[in-house]
Amino acid sequence: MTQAPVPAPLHLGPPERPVFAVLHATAQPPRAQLLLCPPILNEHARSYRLFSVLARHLAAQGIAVLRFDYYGTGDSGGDDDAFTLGSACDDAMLASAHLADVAGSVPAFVMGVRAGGLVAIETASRTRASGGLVLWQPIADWTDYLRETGALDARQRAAIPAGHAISKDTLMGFALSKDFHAHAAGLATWPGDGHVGRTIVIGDDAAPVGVGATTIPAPPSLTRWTGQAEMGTFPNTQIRDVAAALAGAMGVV
Amino acid sequence: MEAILPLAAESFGLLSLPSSGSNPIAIVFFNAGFIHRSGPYRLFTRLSRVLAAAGYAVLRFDLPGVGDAPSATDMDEQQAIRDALDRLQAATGCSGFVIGGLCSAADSGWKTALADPRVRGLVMLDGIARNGLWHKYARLRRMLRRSPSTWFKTVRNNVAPAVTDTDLRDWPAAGSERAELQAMLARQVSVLALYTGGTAYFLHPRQFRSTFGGSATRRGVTFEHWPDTDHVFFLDAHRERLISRIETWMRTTFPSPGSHFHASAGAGR
Repeated sequence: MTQAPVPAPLHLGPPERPVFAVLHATAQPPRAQLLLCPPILNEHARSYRLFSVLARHLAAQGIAVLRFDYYGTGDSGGDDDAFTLGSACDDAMLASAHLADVAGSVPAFVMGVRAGGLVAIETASRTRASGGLVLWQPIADWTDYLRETGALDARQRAAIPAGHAISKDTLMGFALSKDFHAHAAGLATWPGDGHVGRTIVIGDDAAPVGVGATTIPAPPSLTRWTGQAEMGTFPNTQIRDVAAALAGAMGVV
Repeated sequence: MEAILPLAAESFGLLSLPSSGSNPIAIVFFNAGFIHRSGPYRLFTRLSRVLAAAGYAVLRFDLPGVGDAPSATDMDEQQAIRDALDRLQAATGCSGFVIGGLCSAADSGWKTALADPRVRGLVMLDGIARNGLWHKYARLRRMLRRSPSTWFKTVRNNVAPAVTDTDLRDWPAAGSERAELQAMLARQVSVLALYTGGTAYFLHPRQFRSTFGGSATRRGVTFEHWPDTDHVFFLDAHRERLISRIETWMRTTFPSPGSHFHASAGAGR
């Protein structure tokens, strides 16, 4: 393991449609590259620190990592309702091309966290990711995910002193695009035959496992943030351990 | 337009810039607790862009141990803030700053405003306030509105009080906040202190005066109590209201040279 260069923030895409990204380069020529598709809605901010630290550890293992915010989320341009899962896939393709330019021809992996798994599966399929797919606590059932997120939304609204009715146009504090649900319905929740390479699943015992997938267990301290509205911290040593296990599963040791 | 501003200790910030011209006062927002720089539900991403459109350079960045910033081993929070102000000044030419944010960011802003003479304004969202008699009165009034069964629960909780949000905050020693505010006002620092209905420690608007004494009503201090909003402005409408209020406060308190903005022209309370 070597000290990786300082993570480099950047903007991708045309100035009128900036996509914010952070490149975690490697000290030596990389042995693999990994594009990290983040989760969405409240889970994006809730897990931001976890995946920033994970990316640092992976870079130290020789894996070049590119993290990015979908357009309409985080530090990228656009209002909240500019985000759609369809445009998120386009953003991932843009980020994937940039990472390939930087990292070269080393094996390419696409990682999706939670709902970002839908984006990752689509991107891995479109780019024919040579390394494979990594899914962190993937969402097996989109309907269940929306139901659970809706229940969390209702609990948050109940805590507002003035009270407020549930709105179909927003979810967990974010305005939704009109075609949010339609795009979700069109994306696969699990890689089908069109997927290239192997699949690595990171999660707790409850994580769904597809045929032929490699599984990496993650401790509760790194998995119980899902479904939580409150912010919290993540233990660095456990993130480092998961990064080492992932690097091993990716064939980078 | 947004640019990336490199900061010390492997960190960086997002700098929202006006499209033309620039106010000599720049704005800096700190993290609200563990939430990275874009803030709860992107509050500070949106606020930064609105304020940039109004003519201000606005920096949002992660303090040590939050978001993309390395942990606090290399640099403590106040050092990181001082470095960010230095680099913002070098990048924009602005020599005066409005700083602050929500919750712990308000606390960080308070400490920085006391220590750094370049600070000209402080935005405190759910910042420091002491409990006192008005808090007790508001709690009692709330309790009496509920069913008698909750009264016993409240009494039981008071026998063995749990950790409260005030225990988790980085506030000055009780009683020193009055002198500290006086010192800021003597330096012509303007303060926007806004309290939501989402904390357990601020329940009655008169707590503000009982916390800060006569300084609470002095020129330069703007106090607002929004009891209908929660602590993190979950609703889009509440965030829009907050963004509009801060923009109006900035425009009236730190108008751009040559502008003729009056409070009545912007959004009201």
